[in-house]
Amino acid sequence: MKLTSQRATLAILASTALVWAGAAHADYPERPVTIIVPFSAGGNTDNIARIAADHLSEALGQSFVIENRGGGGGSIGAAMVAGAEADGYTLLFGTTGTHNVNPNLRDVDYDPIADFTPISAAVVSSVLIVAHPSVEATSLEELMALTSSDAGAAMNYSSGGVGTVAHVAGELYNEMTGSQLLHIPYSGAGEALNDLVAGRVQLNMNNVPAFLPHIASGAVVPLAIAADERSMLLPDVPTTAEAGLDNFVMGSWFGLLAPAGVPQEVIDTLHSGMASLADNETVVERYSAIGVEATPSASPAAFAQYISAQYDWWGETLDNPAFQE
Amino acid sequence: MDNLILGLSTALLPANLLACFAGVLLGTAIGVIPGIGAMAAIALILPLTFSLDPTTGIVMLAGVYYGAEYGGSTASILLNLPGTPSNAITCLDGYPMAQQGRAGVALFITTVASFIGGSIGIVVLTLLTPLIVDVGLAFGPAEYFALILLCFVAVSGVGGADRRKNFVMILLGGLVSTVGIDIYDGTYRYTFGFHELIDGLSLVPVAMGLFGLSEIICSVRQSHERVKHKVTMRSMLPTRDDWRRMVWPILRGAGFGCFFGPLPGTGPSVAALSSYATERRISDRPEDFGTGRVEGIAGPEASNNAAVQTAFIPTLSLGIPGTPTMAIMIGALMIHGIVPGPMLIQSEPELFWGLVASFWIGNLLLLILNIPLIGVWVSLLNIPYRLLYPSIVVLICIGAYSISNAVFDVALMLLFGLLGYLLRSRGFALAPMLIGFVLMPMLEENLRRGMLMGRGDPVYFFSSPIAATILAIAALLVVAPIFGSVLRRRPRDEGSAKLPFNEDDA
Repeated sequence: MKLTSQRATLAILASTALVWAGAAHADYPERPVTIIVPFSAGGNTDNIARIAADHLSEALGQSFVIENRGGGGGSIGAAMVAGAEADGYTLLFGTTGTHNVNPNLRDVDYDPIADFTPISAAVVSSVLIVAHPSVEATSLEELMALTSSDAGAAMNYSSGGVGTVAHVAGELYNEMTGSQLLHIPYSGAGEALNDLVAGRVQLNMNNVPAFLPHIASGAVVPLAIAADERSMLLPDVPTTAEAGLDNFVMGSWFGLLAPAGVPQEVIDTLHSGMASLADNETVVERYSAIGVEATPSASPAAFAQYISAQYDWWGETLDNPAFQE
Repeated sequence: MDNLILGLSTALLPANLLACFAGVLLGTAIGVIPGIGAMAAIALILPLTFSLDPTTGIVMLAGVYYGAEYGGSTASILLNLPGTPSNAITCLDGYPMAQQGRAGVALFITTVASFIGGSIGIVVLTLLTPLIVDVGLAFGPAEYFALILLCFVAVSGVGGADRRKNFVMILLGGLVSTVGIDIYDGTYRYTFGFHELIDGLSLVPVAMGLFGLSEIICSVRQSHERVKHKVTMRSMLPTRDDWRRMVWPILRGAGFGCFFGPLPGTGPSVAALSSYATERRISDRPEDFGTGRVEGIAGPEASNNAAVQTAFIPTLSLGIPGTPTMAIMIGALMIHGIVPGPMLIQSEPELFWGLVASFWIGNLLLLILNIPLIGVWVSLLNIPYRLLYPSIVVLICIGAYSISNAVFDVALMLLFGLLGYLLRSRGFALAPMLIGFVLMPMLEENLRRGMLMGRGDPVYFFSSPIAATILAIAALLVVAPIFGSVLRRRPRDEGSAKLPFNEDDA
């Protein structure tokens, strides 16, 4: 803590000494920027955000400080930023959960589209279909044949709760393949792992990071990745389309957003910082260690477009009675 | 042996030794401060460790984790404020001991118990890691359901003299624990439109309010006969009788800790609870529990310290976090490019054995650190209440706030303080409420998960030998006292026609 604040003070001194007063926002960022992570420290979102924040601090010469404001499945932190001053010093590290799932599933205190100015995605993580080694399928094709047969009705898939990516992926899989896998919810993705590794739950469809150690050890077998292209982290795992399941593409994004009304110059400055994520070797290395790839958006507008397209996709998908109370 | 030497040579590197010392020191301090648990502390210093060597970083984080468990008992004993959730049970007999002027003794005993419990946990971690991993995986919803049910049966006697009141309190605790989202169908339970309540109530504000704050409110109305606490070394040493009484509880407690530590989801809190319930049950004077029994603090403290050590087994060897704190630990490893799992011991022997060796060193450091501190803590009690209590209220407010940087949790803590005060003044014991609050969600979650996995057939819960055995033991515990009292009472019943309702209160 002390170190950061010292560094921050130094940075403030340096920036005020060096930069002469120009246009109102040309100096941005002239003091430390707070990035609200709407989940608790140490989780997946937090890890991704901290690496991005370190990179931004370096790229823009100003401290980017993470503040964890968990609760309400991310809704509390997101609502805070939605109502924050639009000066570019309070930002949100948003996710599919805060901007696409929660607003479609329940009442939240913010408008995911109108209340925010998207800056750039940091990571888009695709859903990976994994099975316990006891499942008699070595490919997605065999799995689909197995799950849509009578034997499939005795199989389970797990998730970290109703409306999570893993739950939606599972129900979507059921619908598209005519299977009847039973959903077993847990109170978090981590908790769901024990029964998966033990084989009481046979399948799980979730973002790569949670599985990475267990794929390496052979405790779970990756069958397909629900993306348009293969992942660099798992080059041998085919995409769903390659493996014979079309239109099953989904994942979650993690990215930086500002409150609505932040000046365009500020947004552009921040985007320039995010855009170099994928070119920075340290970032690439740290991201691949936690099982994700840096995938910054081409422009703030492209990210905005992506978010609202995802919003519509999730709205339609969540209309399924399986996700309603 | 080679492994241990490799471990020691890693752990004794100056950087790692320093990290270990810094970790346990910080952990003890954090543990002493009510409400700020290991999780908050670890989350706070996690970013600092990113720049360190992975082994050094994880040694430090681990030191904070088990150090907090050491320090956590201090506030429980001195102020009736659980330093960490798993120390809540230590309040029950620790605080009465302090009120009797035996705070120093209580702190000495918990330090020794923590050390022995922790050491046994480390031995188990060192020798039995592969074996215990399998035990962890063998536990699914059926086994957990049976285990939690057994816990419920075992702790049912804890609390005040009035059984009906205790029962009401268990139910009230269970009811409070249902607040939040129902993970099975997404329904909101008792959230009253507060987004802050969606994730449920966390144990810290509830326990701090119920135990600590209500104690402070109560004290305002009482005119205290202050016990003057002596701060001599002599007054801190347990008597020969204390030593004799604490040996077995410590060993049994360590056993509970080693068993519950590696099981995901249960961990130190349930270990401490089981240890306390067992000591009370097998004691020849169970009615004395809650009045300052040595067994009531030695067992739980040994068990929660053993549990925090053995909790590393599934974390390191399976990559499965048993508690949210362990999830952060895995995150810390992964961010350094180290993948926890069965391969870890082979691929990173220096890290694994270095960490294990640092546990030995850390435990020793904690013992050396804590014994001299006892005098300091005890002399805190000689500060006049009018100065001490306001500072404590400030501290617990900070603790409650630190959970998720939210004022809401502070308000919640105050609310539970008020509730605790009202319940106390009506003669309700608060311990059963805490037990209901901790165990009920686990019971519900595993019952419903088991019913799902069994496709609605309750036979599922008897289908595994482990679950069936545990359920049989639970049934035996319920039935045995009934038969026992019938057998004992028969000769007397002939002479007296009195209804023996109150006799089984013990």
